[in-house]
Amino acid sequence: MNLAIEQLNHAATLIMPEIVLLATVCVMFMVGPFLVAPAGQTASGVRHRWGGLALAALGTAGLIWFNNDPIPIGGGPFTADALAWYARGLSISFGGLLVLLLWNQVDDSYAAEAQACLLAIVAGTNLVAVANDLVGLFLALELVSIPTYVLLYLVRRERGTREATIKYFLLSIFSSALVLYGMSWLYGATGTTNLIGIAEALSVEGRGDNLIRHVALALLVAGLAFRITAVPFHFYAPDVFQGVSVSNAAMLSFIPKVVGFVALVRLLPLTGATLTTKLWLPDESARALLAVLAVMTMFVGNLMALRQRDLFRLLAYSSIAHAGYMLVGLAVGNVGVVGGTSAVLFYLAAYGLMTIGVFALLRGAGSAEHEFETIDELRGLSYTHPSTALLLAVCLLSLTGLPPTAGFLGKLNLFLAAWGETTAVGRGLAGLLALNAAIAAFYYLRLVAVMYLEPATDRSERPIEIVSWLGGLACTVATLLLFAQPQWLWDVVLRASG
Amino acid sequence: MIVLLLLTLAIPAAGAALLMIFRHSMTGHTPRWIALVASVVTLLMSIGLASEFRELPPPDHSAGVVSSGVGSFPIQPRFEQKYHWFTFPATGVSASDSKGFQFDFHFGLDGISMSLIVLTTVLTMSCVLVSWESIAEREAEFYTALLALETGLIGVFTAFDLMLFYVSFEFTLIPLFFMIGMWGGPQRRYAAVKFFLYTLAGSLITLVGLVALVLLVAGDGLATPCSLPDLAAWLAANPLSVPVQIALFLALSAGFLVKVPVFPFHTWLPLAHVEAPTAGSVLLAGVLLKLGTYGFLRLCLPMLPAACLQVGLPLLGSLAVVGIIYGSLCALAQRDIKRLVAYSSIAHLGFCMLGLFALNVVGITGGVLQMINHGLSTGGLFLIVGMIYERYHTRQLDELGGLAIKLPLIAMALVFVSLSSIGLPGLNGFVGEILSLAGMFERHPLYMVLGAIGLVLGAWYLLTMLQTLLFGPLVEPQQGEHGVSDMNVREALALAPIVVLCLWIGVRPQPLVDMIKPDVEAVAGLYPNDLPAGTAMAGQVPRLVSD
Repeated sequence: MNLAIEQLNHAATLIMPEIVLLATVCVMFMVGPFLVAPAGQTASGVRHRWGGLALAALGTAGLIWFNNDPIPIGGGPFTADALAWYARGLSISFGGLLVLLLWNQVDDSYAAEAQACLLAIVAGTNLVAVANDLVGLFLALELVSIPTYVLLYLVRRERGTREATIKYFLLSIFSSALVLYGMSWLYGATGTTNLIGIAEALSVEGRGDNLIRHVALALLVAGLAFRITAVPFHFYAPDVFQGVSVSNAAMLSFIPKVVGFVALVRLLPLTGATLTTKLWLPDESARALLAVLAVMTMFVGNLMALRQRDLFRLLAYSSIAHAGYMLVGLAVGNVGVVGGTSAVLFYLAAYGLMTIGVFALLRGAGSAEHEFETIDELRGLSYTHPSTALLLAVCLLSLTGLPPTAGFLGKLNLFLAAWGETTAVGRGLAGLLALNAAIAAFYYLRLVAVMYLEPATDRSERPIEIVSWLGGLACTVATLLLFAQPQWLWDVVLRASG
Repeated sequence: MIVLLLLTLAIPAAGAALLMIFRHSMTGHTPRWIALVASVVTLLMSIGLASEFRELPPPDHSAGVVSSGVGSFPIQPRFEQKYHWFTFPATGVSASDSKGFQFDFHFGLDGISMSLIVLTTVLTMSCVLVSWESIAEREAEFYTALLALETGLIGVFTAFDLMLFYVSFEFTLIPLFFMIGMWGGPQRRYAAVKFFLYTLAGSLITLVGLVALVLLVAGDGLATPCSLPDLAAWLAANPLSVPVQIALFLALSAGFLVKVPVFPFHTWLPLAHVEAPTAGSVLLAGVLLKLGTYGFLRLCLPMLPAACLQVGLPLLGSLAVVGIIYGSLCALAQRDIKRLVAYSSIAHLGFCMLGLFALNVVGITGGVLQMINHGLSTGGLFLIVGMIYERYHTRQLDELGGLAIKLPLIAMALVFVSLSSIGLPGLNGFVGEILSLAGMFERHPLYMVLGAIGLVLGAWYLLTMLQTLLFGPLVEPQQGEHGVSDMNVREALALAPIVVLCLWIGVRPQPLVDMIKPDVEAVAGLYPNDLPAGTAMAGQVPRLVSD
């Protein structure tokens, strides 16, 4: 009895940041409705309090996270290892930025629920990284998905949003089922749901039947590919990005990628019968699967983005393309001087800064009544909103991968990882990555050109929405600073993938 | 010294930042004054840097070869300073499995980069002066772009580190994109986008080549594979196998071929030049194209000698010859002066490439001189074309003629700069072209003979232009146009440094040759001479003028 309580206590200490977040979520859900009058009216400005509370919760979680050093992987239901530490850092800090985006985008009467959903998503992302057990991992994945459905519809309620939400909901359920099915194969092969147990069981000769292992791998990759918007599981992304609010599009462009890639980094080595990604090299079939996925994702994302007129569809395809770049890092394994997994984790942070920066700035310069929709609306932004246009240009050039931005370093690391892997596959992927970066330059540059090289046509007054704008400013500055000082992040990433 | 070097980098950057941040609070024409002050101070800094640089002892690379026998040092900055950027620590089971390596911000100076830095600062100041009145719209942004471009260019020339080099190399695209796209001619958007994407695509291939080179050398155990001096010394001591060298050479060249541009990768150039504002054209022709030749000189020549001999010489030699003749013929056919000058750039850079790929001291000296001379004379040509355009709003030879009567000073300057560009003995162009061709003659006489045709063609198209534009009956877009005045003081100040340098290098090239000589000799030392020792000028820099 005492032992059980002790274990429970120990497990709880490992997830203190998440407990703080989820407790805040409960408070928000329970108190929120009482502040709304029966007619649906509420005092204006309540959203500031809920936003502040969300930031405070994230700050507390962040403090707890920062003061607990990663500990090596253990046998319990949770593990607070270096990978979890890194993923938590990402989701908590970027969660703060997303709170800023959501701040003024949601009505006062729904602010509590919306911010609570966002916090739940952040907590779910953390738990994905912390989970040391298939069941825990699946629950964490669902803890990300279910609040997402609510959040997508809560913030903006139009026909298009409804369609987008339903589409996301159905496909998300489908992908969850795939992941669950893949997990059941792993359980069937090993008889345990604990990740360490699975790795040990599969490493015993004869236990890990190759076929079972491959089926599990394929199903897990397919299920998680939905989250990272890898082709051919990307179909929802353009419609959803177009339909939902800017803050939600920003969230969808980043958080599911963290979830997906962290889960892949956790699970893929298992199918190769090793526990960590250190020195993990995908076997032939896994490598073929990931490489094909990466190539398809890069090309479809970039080529389709070339044809878009709608700003958010374009950003959706751009987000798909970046998933392809990161898959390159995953496909080449973690063997060279610059490990592929390390490069992916580094890229995640850089990508988060630049993509959330773009969305935050688009939100910051587009008024609540009239958000940006098509590329043409950006015309002449450098005349009407010169500072926003400048920051946006920096973020877009970072997405292109030009120096002096973090995007350049991210791509450089992926190049080094892919080429350093020394096989034809790795080198081919590096070449295709370069080709895709060149294609991508075309549409990012078009956005910059529209902002700077064309006169303003839309003379309607667009006041700056300062909270999101500050988030965008922070992202842009961080993008530049990360270029100048990348060593600390690289150290963290190496520890996380080692 | 490092203080001066960092100031040379920081002042234009600070000027650009200042302009960007306070663009709203500036009234009237404050931006151009700030830009002028920043560019003049940068120029003074670079001159100060050059004078300190001349005091430095020349590198003792010959000692390394003879005494220690470990190999030669093809790149030896006479001054260097490193700031750690980031490290990839060693990973792997055993220490030998994979070694870590690090990237630095590695600043340095040698004779070649020093002379190009001065060229950049001189031309930037002229650019500010020539844009003084022609840029009326969004002044602050324009000068921000100009100063940012200057920072990037100086960054390339001070970089003795692969990554810093590449980063600056890529960065220069961004301000020039805005300069062409925002203040250019009617087709500016198309020109800017084409310029950007074309060069970006080329340099991405270069990046793959760089990554491959770095990983290859790091795998062999060099801990600082990005430092150019270390890398060059390492590769001189442990040469790569020939096929690997050739593959790397082709990958690395991709970006530089586009940048130079070597025929047939030149199609972005005339368009970009014609559409760019005068300042953009001056810097594009004067310095940006040199980034391509400088890239060859810094990366390909010292690192991959076998590939340069086996592939570089025939490939680039023939392409350069084709470029010289093709560029000259195209220039001959143009009726738009700016386009004519743009095509002449292709021809002149052909000479530069011929000189560099002569792979001997004489040729490389000629190539480097040609880089500087072309920067001065073509920069000057673009400046004057800009002045004429400002007055008449046309650049068509059919609509202009006999301007010497009306604009005697401009006409005089144009004649002077054209003659320098043609290569009249006594002016700067002559020295570079003749040394390039002489070097090539020793390496491969056929390319030299074919290239020499370009000299004649060059005289032909430029003199034809002068004849139509300046002499004969007066032709103006609107007959008897009033209010067209001759060169004013500001424009004279913009041209003066260029004219002085043209004359100075033409009459006394020796100081410049002495400055770049040790570095050129270090690179050329990697290449054996085909001719027996003692004949001709092989292996030593000729004394052009007796002291």
